[in-house]
Amino acid sequence: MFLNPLLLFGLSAVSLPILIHLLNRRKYHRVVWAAMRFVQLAMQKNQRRMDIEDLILLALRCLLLILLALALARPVLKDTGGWGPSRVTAVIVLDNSYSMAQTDGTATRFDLARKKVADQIINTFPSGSSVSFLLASDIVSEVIPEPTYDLNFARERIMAAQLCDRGTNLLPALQRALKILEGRPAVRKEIYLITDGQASGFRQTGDLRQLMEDNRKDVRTHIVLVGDPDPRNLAVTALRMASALAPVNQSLRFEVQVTNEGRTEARDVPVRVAIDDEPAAEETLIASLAPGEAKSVSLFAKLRVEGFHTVTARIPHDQLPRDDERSIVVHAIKQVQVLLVDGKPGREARESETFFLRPALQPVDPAAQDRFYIQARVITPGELDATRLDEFDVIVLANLSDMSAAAVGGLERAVRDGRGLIIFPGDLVNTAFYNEQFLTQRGLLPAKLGEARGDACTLHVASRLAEAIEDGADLRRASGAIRAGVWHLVGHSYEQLPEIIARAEEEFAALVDVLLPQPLAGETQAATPVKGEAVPITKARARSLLHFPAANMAPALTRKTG
Amino acid sequence: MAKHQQTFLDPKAISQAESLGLHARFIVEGYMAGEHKSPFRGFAIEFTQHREYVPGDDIRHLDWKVLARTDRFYLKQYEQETNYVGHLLLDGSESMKYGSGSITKLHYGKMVAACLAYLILLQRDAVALSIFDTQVRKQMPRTSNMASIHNVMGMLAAFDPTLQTRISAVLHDLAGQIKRKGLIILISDFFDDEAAILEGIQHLRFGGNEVIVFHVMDPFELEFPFKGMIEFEGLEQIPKIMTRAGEIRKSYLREVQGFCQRIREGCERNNCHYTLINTSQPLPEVLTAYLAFRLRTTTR
Repeated sequence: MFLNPLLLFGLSAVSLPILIHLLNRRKYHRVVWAAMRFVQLAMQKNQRRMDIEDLILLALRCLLLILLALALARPVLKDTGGWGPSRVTAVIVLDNSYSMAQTDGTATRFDLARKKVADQIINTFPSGSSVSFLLASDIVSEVIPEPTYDLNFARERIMAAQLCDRGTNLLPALQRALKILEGRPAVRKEIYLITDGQASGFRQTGDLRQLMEDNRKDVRTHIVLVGDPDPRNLAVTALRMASALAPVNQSLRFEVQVTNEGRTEARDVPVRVAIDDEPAAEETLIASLAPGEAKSVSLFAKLRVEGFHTVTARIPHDQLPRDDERSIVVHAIKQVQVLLVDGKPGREARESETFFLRPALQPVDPAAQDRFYIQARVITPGELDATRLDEFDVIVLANLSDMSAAAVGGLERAVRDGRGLIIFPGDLVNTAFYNEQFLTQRGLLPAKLGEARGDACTLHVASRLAEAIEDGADLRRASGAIRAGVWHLVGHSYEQLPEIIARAEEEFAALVDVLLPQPLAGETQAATPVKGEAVPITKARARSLLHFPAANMAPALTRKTG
Repeated sequence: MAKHQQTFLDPKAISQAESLGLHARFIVEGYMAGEHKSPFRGFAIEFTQHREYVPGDDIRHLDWKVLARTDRFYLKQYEQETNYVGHLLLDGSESMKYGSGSITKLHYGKMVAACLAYLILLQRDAVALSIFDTQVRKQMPRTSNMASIHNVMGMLAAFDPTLQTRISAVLHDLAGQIKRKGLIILISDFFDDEAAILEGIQHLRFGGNEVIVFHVMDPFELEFPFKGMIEFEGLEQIPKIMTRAGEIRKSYLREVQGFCQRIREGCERNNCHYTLINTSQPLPEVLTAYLAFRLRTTTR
């Protein structure tokens, strides 16, 4: 087989030496000579030898041209046929996804794979072969994009390859490798796919198979599996702080989810939570974990110092160590200062708008209230102008009809500085004022306030919600109305609170997911009670913020009342 | 003066001159000027012998002085015996026409013959000249008259070869013709049957003659410096031959050397002086070398 078969026309050049030979016979010098008999004798003795030499020379010249033409046509052996292998143009695709970090105790799969490629695969290539090198995780990294003939260089680059912490997807890498080999003149084109064979890498099996099938004629693909498939692997798949606030010296609940990614059941898995670099604060055991099963456990820990802390959940290391722990950052706070502006103090304390809110914020003995991590101060609307808002972390306007322009300005600054602002609309609220000042001019309100409908004290949240959903024209207003409704229920019939909260939370989640994919700017700022909460999902953040009153208060209230 | 003569005596310069005789004289006199004795001394000029009269002898040759003194009859014989005849035999066959440079072998042979004739006449010996191919073509009877050197030159200059050689036949003929012992100088390329030639020389030697052989060869014939494809066109009977000369050179040289060697050995067997002349050599050098050699061998 020839790579440049057109150049075989060069074989016609074989006629050249024959022509030259014939022409040379016609080109001679004539000499008049006396000593003819010696020439005759010498020629008789040499003629036969000269004829044979002539023939050999002619044959050699023809052969030389034939070989030259053949060499230019670049002959190759497709099949080795016992004559030694022909040159290879290969693309080595090395899986560097995180699963390749799994170790058998002495070396990781990645180490084994690198060694295998450098020592075994490349060494089998005959001289003159060229190699391209790709690293494949869920992205393709082209280390040697153009095939190099310097196999030592390729070996060096392979041994210097780094693992990454990404997942596996081999299809793009295979596509890229085929692209590299496309149009190359080599006869032996090969792809070596070195992987640990994680199922995720072959999730497009159909496409992979099709791709290999389509190119089977030109490109031979070898899949080299490294590492024994280990049946055991546990992973910490989630860690979150279940407590809404992280006050210092308070017991905080952390939820840790452990998933069995292996194929065998895991028993007695110890789970620990540690703050910063300290030893584990608490440990619990998961008795049994079936393959594929995920279980959550709650663990408690206390933060001793104000500020940011790393909370790490751990299980004992297995062969894939990096997924055996997970960390979040938690901002520990000493106290939260809450300012309650009571829009309707009432004649008796019981009629006051903040009568229930204040003990809800400080559900402890009056004697211990001063040491509690939530400090609440109640003022009347008249005192608002004179109060320094920067001393408070959260400001609550409870059924406040309206306020001075200075007070609105102060509230805006407070929100811009990162303080929380909670507005509870009630019967006294001047809707137009709020919509104008807080929504239109300053954008502090999450939604436009609508007219109050029905009686907050008797209406069930679910019915309000259903109403709001039916009244789909102004959904932002609906969410505000629902929040208001929730609060009123807290005030008047808190016994039903847990189930109401649960239902509202579910329905709200659905609503938020559908209608509010992005959190509203005002909402986020206005309702952030704790800075630095490490919840990495935007939607989750929005969802938890929308539920702030219910989610935060419920445990405290139930504990108090129960 | 010597330098002037030296350059003038170059055989190439001679070949361009019109008259062979003039240049032959220069060559020999140039040589003789350095040598006061003739190289042909011993050609019996001074030899004298008395022989007793026997009946039938011509009484003109009686030595009357001896008869008067001793009363015995003796004949004076020196006049008859002291004059040697130098027979110059020049091969005039077609093969002698070959010359790689400006001088052909024949031309060179003519110069050798002219010079030797001049030298011989100069010491008052007689000289006879024969030019032959298959038979004697031109012949000049013996003469000891110096003036006849012009006839020698004229005959040499006028000769133009046409035929191939048959030296042996000519030598046998000459051996029969030469009545008086003498010096026979044979100038040829000997491109003929070697055995027959040697037989001819032997025949000459049987007559008591001294035979000197000058074997004239062209430098190209001795070195064969050809390369590439050459068509050799024979001067004698052999037809054209085309060959790659460079490749047969070794073989050719072996043949030529073998040929020269056989001629030399045959001459030596017959006590003949053999001299191989390469026509690229200057003639004075060749003559000087030969005459010096001869002086050495005859005075020993």
